[in-house]
Amino acid sequence: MDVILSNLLLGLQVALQPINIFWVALGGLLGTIIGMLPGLGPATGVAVLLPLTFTMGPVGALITMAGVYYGAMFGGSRSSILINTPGDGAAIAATFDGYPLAMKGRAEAALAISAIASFIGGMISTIVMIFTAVPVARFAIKFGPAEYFLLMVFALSATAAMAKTNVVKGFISLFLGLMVSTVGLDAQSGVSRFTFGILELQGGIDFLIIILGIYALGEVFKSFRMIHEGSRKVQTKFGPIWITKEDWKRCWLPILRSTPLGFFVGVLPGAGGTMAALMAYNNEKNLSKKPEEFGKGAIEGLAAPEAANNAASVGALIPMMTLGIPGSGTTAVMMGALLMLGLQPGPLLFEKHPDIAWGMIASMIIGNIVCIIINMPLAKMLVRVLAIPARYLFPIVLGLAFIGTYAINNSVADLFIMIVFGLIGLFMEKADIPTSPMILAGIVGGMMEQSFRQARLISGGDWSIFWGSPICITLIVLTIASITWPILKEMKRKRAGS
Amino acid sequence: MTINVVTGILSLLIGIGYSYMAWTLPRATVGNPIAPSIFPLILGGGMTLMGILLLIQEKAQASKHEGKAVSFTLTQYGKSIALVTLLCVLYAFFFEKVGYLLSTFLFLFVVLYMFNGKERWKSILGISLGFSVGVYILFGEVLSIQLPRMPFLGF
Repeated sequence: MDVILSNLLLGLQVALQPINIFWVALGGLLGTIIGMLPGLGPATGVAVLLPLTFTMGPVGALITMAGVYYGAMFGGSRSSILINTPGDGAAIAATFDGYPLAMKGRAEAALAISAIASFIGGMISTIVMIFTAVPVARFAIKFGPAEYFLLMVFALSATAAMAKTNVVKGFISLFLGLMVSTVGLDAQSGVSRFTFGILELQGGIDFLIIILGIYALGEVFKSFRMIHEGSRKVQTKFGPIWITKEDWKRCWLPILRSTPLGFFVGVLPGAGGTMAALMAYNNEKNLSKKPEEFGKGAIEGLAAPEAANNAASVGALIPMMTLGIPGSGTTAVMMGALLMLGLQPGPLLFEKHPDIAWGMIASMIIGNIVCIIINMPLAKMLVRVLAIPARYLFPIVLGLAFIGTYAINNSVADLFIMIVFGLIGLFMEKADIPTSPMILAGIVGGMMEQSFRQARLISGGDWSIFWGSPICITLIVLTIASITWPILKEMKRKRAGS
Repeated sequence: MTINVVTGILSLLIGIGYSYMAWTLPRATVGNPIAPSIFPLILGGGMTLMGILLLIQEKAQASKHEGKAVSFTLTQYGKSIALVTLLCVLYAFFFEKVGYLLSTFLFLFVVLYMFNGKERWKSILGISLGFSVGVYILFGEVLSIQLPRMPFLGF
């Protein structure tokens, strides 16, 4: 307890420095704006804004990125409510009742309750994170290379198996990502692998380039259909953005119920904010005495998924920071940001760089407060960006993707690699292949192979090291369960259907 | 041919091609000579297996109902993607050769023009000029990341 408090105090000392408050506020503001814009979610936001942080130093950069991550989660639902278009995947649930509320002339209450619910969900989860991060990291420190390898296998398989359309496609995406991670000079033997004799590929493919290709370029390609739409009509005149006592009475319990649900879903690999929000919505609908009001502007139908979404986004940071294994596309990008700064997330992060790890956690508290200010009193001004038509916005995103890619290594070859990944992203969209398993695999692939080879080195080539400890066996069982569960569910559904 | 069949065949080809490359990698001179190949071989095998599984799955479904066939004709939407991709490649090619400012300005101007038409030329000009100059100053002056200059004029 004392240790946690002193850690938190250390973190707050870092986060409360004026410059860092400025960074988190700037990040929160930019994140909110990017989150609002349809087609640009938190992953894209963090990816395109990352180059801005290159010269800030690790603490400032990480705090800014946390602000962007957080702001995008708040901002996503602004456009759900006002124009019935979710700003990111996790804000889909906010369209169900948020937009009908705005149609009824209650846009102010909808904007207010989604910000309040996001705030409460995020705040409670951050507090839970403060108490759980260190125990998880301590537990993980005992993992040997075989355990670590299997943990990554579990996290990746779970993400691939969660693929909505088809488990096989999830795994195709996963293998593709792992293959990409093997390109380049093998650090242990000096053998050059899969470079096709191209010099620029010797150093491997930077995952940030993959991310920018898939999330920035790919998203723009995907959204080309929207580009000829005219300007959207956005409500710009608002009364005070606040809720009534009656609204609060209806919402407080759903918010408190959805927060732990969202947090738990967020911690699980592969699930993420979208699933958390949808689960919270359905849960509230089932529990409600008046389920017929859902979808027609029930305010608790907006509050619940919003709280769950933000709780999940905090929960998802736990495996990323403490184990070094991201569970979603967005946290993979956050991890990319950390690695870019020369910080290896994982159990040792909290020991080696407590100021950074705790500074980031503490800045999430500040970020939450900043974001609720941005999203309530300032919301009236900010929602005007929704009127920017896609035909201006998308070319600018392309420009940002290029500058972001170039700034990583000052290399033109990277620009071509990014274009290739943009096209791969587009094909994957057409073929209904999920991209997040590939992103995750691309980022942990290198470490995964390293653990695999270390484990075999320790055992002298004996494969039994991979099932030699209780932790290993547990992880194997979890992996098998995570793959077979969706398949069994699908079979059951089919049998019920026919 | 459905998109799933295309995906299945592609996965199969990638899996086999990658496995072959993994197997023919030069042997390591230190430690276990095939150490650099083992992990890739597992990946190649996995990808091949997934390709086969997808094809089997599709075959089983095709007998029940017709899937949506892939069309290879370019739609209006496909054409604009192809065009923008070409512009991206040209932009990347000239990025260092003519410098950031000019290449970015031209790239944005052309892409914006594609979507907005000539009636909005004032805003197009404003955005492309504003973005290229703004980013150049932001990176060069504030963030001290030097972007490629124009070869003759020096900025």
